Amino acid sequence: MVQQLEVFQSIWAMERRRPDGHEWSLNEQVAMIAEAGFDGIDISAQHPDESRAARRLMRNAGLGCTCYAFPDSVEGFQRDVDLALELEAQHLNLIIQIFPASVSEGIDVIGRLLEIGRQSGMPLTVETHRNCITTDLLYTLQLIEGLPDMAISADLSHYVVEREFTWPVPERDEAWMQQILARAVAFQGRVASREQIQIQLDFPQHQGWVTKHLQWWKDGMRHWRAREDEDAVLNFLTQLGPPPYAITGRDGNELSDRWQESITIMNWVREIWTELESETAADQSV
Amino acid sequence: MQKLEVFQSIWAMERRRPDGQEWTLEEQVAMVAGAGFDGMDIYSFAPEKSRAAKKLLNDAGLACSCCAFPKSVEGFQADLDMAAELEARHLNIIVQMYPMSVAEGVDILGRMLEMGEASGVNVIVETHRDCITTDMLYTLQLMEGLPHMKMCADLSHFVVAREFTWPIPTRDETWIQQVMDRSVAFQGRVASREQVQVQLDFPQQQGWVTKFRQWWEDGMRKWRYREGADDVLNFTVELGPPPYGITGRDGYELSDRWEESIIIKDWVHEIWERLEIESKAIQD
Repeated sequence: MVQQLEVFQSIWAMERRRPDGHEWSLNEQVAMIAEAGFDGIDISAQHPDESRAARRLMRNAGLGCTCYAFPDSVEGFQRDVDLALELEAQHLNLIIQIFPASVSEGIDVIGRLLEIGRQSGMPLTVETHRNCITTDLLYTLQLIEGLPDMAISADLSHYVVEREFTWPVPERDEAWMQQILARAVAFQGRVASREQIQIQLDFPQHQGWVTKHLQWWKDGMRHWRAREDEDAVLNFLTQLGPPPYAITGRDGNELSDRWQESITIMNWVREIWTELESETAADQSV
Repeated sequence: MQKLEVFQSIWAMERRRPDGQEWTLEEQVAMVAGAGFDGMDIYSFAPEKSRAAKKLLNDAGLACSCCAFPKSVEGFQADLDMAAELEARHLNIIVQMYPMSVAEGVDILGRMLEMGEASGVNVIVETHRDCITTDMLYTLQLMEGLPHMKMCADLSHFVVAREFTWPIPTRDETWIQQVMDRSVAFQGRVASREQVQVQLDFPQQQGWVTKFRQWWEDGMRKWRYREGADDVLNFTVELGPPPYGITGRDGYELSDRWEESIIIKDWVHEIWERLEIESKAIQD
């Protein structure tokens, strides 16, 4: 057995939210994702009807499935877990919308959620995200320290804008990011600048941030390969959000083609994986 | 009588355009005076530039405030000395030290506030990212631990750092109002939950524009109730150059930032006039 990479696309990232109201149907979305060569789709554990319909289409298209949820109480979380189990999600990724002020309260809340996942047999990942318990990077580093068994889904774009990372990224901030990457079992693809959560991949003025995120993804995937079992599967999720994540012009239309950018990130991540396989092969032959 | 003064940030006068065109310091001061601002916010950490700016500001009849990004308690005295020399209305600090615990943060800020008192400089602490107040929940705890700390409210940072939901939930609104309760100065920039600085006249940004104008009015109303009869409220317009200003594929901004600065100034004057009418109505 060898380690494998699978690249998923976020169902939310398939929303267009254009001024003209044009959206792709669920059928079109699944067909586009399958045809572009993605391995699966990340769908909601909180919208049963829509997710069951999506899951049927995904099975027919040979696509895998992960789930995400925004739990806002420990008590209500079992429902999310149950739907993720029903959908046979590979993992359930959490954006926990509970807002304790102290680190010890945060550890307690997440610890109880992780226990529910363990008892239910559903692998849980906790995403680094804003508008949730992991909003602040320094707070999250303390949660990570207090919860050695918490698996992280690294969406680093949130911290770049949350903490307004200086450019070039100072050693101190780089060390913080590496601590997140060292615990990440899944990754999300979006490029942020220090002032905007999601920037266009091919604008000349953003190339520094594009290169930096590519390096982080590579670092994280290298950590993962060294740490995980030889038959483990790494999940990378491209997640370029519709407006207001995406920047729009005066006419309300986006400044770039977000679907094409999703495919660009998928291709980049596959290239990184191939490079890491060559690194591993070189190490083994020495 | 209480007074409002609206300043323009010197940093906001930078253009950073692909063609490299910038306004000279003389042009900047003339523009700011000509547009009817009352003063300029300049740097305490760039002595030569700030001394030159201060001379021009004096000649134009403009006042000054200072900002600093202290990285150590010990090094902060240099900022205080410069702010005193420039006769700044206040020294606004973005403290670039990164303690993990609230207790450490309270200790650092407490020492800096004490240095300000000893130096006779009016020190205010800005709500900003990339500094000790990056996280709002942490900052609220700092405020609790430092009852005498005066805040400079730049709310755009919290909106994007915490990714405020739209419409704003009561919980988040309460947090913002807690910051307002302690704010003695305000900064003008409109953020969305995903970008720190959005264009003021784009149709899709009007919800956020309205929300920020409401927050400024709330904060200014609180200030008027709380402060003395002869106090002066400082509002600094601070629309930053790229990468704060959003750019298109060609590297140029999508809106005219200088025109937007004047629009914010006019809005703030309108708010002040409404609040004066409110006060009169209450007194009658």
